[in-house]
Amino acid sequence: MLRFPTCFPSFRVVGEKQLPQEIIFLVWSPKRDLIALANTAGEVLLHRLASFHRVWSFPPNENTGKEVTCLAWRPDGKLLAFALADTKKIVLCDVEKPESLHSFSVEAPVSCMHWMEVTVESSVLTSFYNAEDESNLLLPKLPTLPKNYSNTSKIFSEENSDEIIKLLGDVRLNILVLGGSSGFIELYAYGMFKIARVTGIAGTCLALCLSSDLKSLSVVTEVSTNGASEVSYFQLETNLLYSFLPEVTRMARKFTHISALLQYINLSLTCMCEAWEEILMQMDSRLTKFVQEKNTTTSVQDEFMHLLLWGKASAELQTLLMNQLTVKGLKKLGQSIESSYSSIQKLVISHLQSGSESLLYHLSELKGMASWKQKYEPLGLDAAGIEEAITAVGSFILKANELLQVIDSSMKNFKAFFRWLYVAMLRMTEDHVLPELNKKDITFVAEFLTEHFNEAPDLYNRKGKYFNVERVGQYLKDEDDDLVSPPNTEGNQWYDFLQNSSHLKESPLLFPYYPRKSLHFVKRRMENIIDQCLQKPADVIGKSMNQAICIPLYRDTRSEDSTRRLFKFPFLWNNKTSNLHYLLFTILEDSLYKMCILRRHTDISQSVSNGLIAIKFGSFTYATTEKVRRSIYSCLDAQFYDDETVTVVLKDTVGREGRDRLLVQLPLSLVYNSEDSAEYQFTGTYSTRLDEQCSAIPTRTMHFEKHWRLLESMKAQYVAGNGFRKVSCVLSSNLRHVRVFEMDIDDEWELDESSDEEEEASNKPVKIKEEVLSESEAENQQAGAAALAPEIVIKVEKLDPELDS
Amino acid sequence: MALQQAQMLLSMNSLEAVNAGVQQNNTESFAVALCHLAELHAEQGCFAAASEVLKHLKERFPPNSQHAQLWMLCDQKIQFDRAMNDGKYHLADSLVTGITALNSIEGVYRKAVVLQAQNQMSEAHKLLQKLLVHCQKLKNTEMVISVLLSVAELYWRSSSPTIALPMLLQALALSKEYRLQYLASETVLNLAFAQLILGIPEQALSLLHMAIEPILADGAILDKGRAMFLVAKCQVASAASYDQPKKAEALEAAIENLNEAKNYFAKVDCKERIRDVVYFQARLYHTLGKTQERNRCAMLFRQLHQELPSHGVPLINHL
Repeated sequence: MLRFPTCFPSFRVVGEKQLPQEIIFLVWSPKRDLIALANTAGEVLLHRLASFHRVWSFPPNENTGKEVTCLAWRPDGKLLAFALADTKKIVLCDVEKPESLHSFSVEAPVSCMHWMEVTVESSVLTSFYNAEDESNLLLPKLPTLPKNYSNTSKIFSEENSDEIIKLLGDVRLNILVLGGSSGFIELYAYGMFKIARVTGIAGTCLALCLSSDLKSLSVVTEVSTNGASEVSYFQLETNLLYSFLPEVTRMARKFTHISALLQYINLSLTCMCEAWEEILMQMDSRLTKFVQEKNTTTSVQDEFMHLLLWGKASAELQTLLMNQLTVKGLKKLGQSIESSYSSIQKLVISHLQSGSESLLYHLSELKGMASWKQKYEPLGLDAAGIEEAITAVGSFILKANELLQVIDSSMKNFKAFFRWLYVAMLRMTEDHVLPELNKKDITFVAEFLTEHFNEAPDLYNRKGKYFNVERVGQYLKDEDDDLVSPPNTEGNQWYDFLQNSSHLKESPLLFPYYPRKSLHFVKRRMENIIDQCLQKPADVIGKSMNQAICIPLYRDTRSEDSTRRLFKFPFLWNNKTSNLHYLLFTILEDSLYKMCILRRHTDISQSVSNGLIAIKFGSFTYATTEKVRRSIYSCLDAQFYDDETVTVVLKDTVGREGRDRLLVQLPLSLVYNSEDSAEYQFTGTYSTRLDEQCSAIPTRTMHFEKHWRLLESMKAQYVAGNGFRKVSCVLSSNLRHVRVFEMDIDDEWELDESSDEEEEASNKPVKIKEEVLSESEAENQQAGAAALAPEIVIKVEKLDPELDS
Repeated sequence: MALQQAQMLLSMNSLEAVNAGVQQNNTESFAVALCHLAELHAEQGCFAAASEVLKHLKERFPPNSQHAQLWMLCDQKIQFDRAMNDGKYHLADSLVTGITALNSIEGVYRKAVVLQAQNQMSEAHKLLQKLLVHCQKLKNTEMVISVLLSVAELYWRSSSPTIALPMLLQALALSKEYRLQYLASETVLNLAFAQLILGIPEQALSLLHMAIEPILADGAILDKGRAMFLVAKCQVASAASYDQPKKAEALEAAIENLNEAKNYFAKVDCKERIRDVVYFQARLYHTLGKTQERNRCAMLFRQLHQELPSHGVPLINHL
């Protein structure tokens, strides 16, 4: 069947689906025809436009969380961020794969997010971008972590370790703004590193928008007081970010590197802890048990020495060796010690050391930045703090090095000891005896025995064992305790010299060395210090963001559960080209929701004409009958489709069920028509609530002849538009039914017979030249018609008799 | 980074010593690490600590023992640098012989530096040219770059900055190729200075963005001071085209940077440079109409000038 080409079949349906779970959030990718959804089951789903086919889903899990509250795309569309209420985490996820690339915790559950990209250009910025990071030239690539340890964070699991760079994306700064309950607002550069914590805004955030010129941040919050909640709009000045943009960019990138490296070191350490097995403690526990059970007075050390010198063991020792340890057990113990030590050693050398060296490099770069006081001091970067952090990293490196040496000597010792013990035990069983040890080996073993087999009663009180033969584990324990047996630094000429020196001891260039502390302890200390100096800029920048404007909007008495409200108004939008903040919200008037548009300049000192305007939807012209659909409409949802258009879902208050919802594209050029804009001035005051002064809000009545569509057999409630790919997605009020539209088909003369199976051709509202217009509205309508050229009159094959209400 | 490596080496040596023999620590590596530590401390102005390390080295490695040369050279270099900072060129000159005996290339280079400071340009130039050829033959890249930088300095001191540019670019290319980050930043600093002389201070400022962070991060105190001084000069030069309120702001910023440079120079008692900074500050205060501050700086300048009479090198021709 070939139909006549129809012009403006306004918004072609390209997909429709009933979903098993209720959707609580949906947002289009800014660059591709992908839509991300979050549902009540805690899943995050990615769907493709074409037939709403599912690309992937991110199932809820214990680690990340189960209660997704909101989603945001990075402006380049390559990363998706979602917030989880139960774990208070933010997860960044690759668009290609449903796996967490990075996650971080926040203080409060996040209720809304906004991810923006800076658009400012300047010569200083370019030179900053060019100066970006010689680190990949100068530093070795970080080796990847073993696969099974990298579940928590995928940054380091890929083959190339430039993953951090990839995660950072473009050099251009992008900022993820998070808002939550009780005035919680935080800004994360590149979606990874906190650069500001805003204080002083009360209430739960409903919407956020940081303007792309970085001049101001718009926030809509809600304060609930006895049943109803009061919604207000705030505009915060972010001049510090704006005027120090190159510095902020550079600092944020450095910070991101540093925090990623800290994470890397943490993971390496976890790997090391896992490589260390409990089996290694066997030796200590066996010997302790032996001490407890034996009834001789001779010490263990003497017993072993006896065995070494005379080749004969006491009966007790013999039982211990032959019945408990056994030859087989000894072999196994030897093997596991060797394998686990060598894997720890490998991790220290390849991962921990290279990781901490990169960390040191980045921190010293940061120190260089901080010393440039004119540029970085206003941002709260503090050179003294960073110097302290560098010293802490140095101490950590020294400690790691110490561990390496301990492993080295332990491996040597154990090898010799086990070999000797093996020979001794073979002799006891009177098996074939291996060649004797030479004298040097015997001295070595004797030395080992004196050093390691001392009974230590005080140790027993602390740890429940008398011996500490195994000396690697103590470094890997996450405890505040001192090391059980710290390395011997006596006779160490460097430390002696340092101790006896007068000036060198106080030298700020030397890294302090904590001989009695474990690797974990030193690491934690380092983390704390680094965190502290990275925290400071967030506080400083946050404090600089002053609340400049506060406009109380309306009182909301709707009692809806919190999850559903997320879709609701108000909606914030930033027009990047004209530097305006737009706010869409509704005011309840005569049981109808009237849509209002508030706009403000991003620069607080500048004002803008037609700051507040209300929209009344007057009539919709039906193509077929040359009749006009006249009714009273209530605005259900509205969202910016692109800089010029708002997509609105309307409810026809007199329409019958299933035919009462409309999808409308509202062009702003008509709303802010320059010819008669002077007539639409807000006469009230912004200091009292806007819904109390409804009459002062200028109302523009709009009439539509095209760019609208009846939403058949669907209780549409919400809409999400995407002007980049020219699509919209409508969600029904039961939150399970979605319908996707292609919005811009002006130029498309479709000769397609198969695409619209789901819908009846008869239902298509088609545009005709409007003729039925009341006198009073003629003026407006003419303006609208002019903007909506070209006008083409079409004959339609079939009429819908029911269209008129 | 160097600091970390040196300390790691030192602590490594130590733990080995516990297990094996006692004499383990008198190795070359130990001596090198300590020398390095001494130099690093001297660079950061911790002269007391540096001399303490050297004293320890002297005890550990007596003058006629195998590795004594290492600390001797290090000691003389530190002394030389201090003499140069202090403006005692004759003292520096007398140290050159000692350095040459231990390391001829280093010695010749330092001789040229002294000659340059004493305004004996043509002799310095001859020496540097010879050294350049020699080092290129030996592929001693670091020295090649340092020599190139010195030659460039000679050129603009004789007021021909355009000839200096190819030298600097060659030095930059070399240091980038061999990943010598610090020398690269040093070269960029020189390039920026050349641009300043050529009258494009805005360019110079944006170039400085690239170089200043590594210098402030790991550089010697003297270099940090020089970098900040240069930033201030560029700020003043580019402020010339601004209108009044913006200009005052830029000059204030420059004064702040000069203060910082002064602090750095004070740490290594480089009186000559402090004198220059103070002079410059006095001029800026004068422009801003701040008489009291101006007089204070001027008095400081007067004191320093009496101590160290200027040798007629114009302020601008000195990085």
